[in-house]
Amino acid sequence: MTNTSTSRLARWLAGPILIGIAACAPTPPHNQPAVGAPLESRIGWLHGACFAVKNNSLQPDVTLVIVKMDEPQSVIQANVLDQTVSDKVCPALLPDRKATNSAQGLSFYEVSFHDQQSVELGIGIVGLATDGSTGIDVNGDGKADRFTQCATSEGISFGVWNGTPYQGRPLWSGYYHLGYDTRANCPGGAVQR
Amino acid sequence: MPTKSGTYWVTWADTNATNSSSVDDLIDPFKTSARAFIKALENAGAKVDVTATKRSEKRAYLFHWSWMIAQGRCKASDVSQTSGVDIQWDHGSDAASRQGAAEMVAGFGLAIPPTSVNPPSLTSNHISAKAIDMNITWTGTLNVKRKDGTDGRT
Repeated sequence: MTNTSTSRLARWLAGPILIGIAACAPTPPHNQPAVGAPLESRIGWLHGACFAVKNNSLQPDVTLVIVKMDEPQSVIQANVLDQTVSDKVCPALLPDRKATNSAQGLSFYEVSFHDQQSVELGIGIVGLATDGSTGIDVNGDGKADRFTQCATSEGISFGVWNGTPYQGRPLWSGYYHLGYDTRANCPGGAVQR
Repeated sequence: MPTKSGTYWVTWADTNATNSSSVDDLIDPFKTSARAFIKALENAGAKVDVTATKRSEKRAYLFHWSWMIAQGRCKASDVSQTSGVDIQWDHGSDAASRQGAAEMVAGFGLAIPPTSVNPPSLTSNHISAKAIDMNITWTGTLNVKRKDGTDGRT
């Protein structure tokens, strides 16, 4: 199957399937964070070819599994190229956004997508050995997790959820400050920062 | 003579339609209140970094309509002009107009969430100079004096 097969992806989005990625995953290369590392240092968000994550020590060639936040969602892979401070690569570092995004302790990496893919908005996970065909389990608990994005009044809120999205606390959340005003559509006004 | 939509306008906006992070650009009474609040925070030992105050109306206009046209949510010929921005949205064909707008969307780094119907706003408290974004950092307990001089612990 291809990584973007919508039929299988629709299956895991519609009803998570128990999987045991942690148990089956091969040992990651030496320069990749282990699956057991804190989620905060393994998960980040993407706008285009820029990966923002609270981890300043990712090495070039580290592999990312990326959930594209399209409708329907799909999974692709990419490799980290290098850390960057360029707003040409990272819209998150444009002058109107840089201060707020940088203040969150994020580091920014240029990435290269596999198979000439591209991403508008996405959530990236470091250190997972999966093509996402049967779901993605970021914390190794055997459950496929859910990935969300919604708009706040000035940015985008990303989330990874162990159960029903927007109920309880997410496994991981990220905030992308856009630096311009837009209409919020996060459920219940939720902003997972 | 109007200039067609495209990357030119990204450069133009970065010079002629910039946002502010100065409290001076806010309007009263909000400005006075914001100043007093920042002073109270700083007096209590907090570090305040103001990141945004007044946002440019012209910049918002360019953001909004480039997003709308590039997404095919309106026709370039239907967009009204605004004072001080001599842009020609309509290139004579839908495809060319969308291409010009798409160049601006990319240049401005505008995000396009899936199924989003909400473009960048034309109006907001920031645009009307009645909003402020700031990062506030401190260590320990912050005792910010209230307006009446009493303590408020955070």
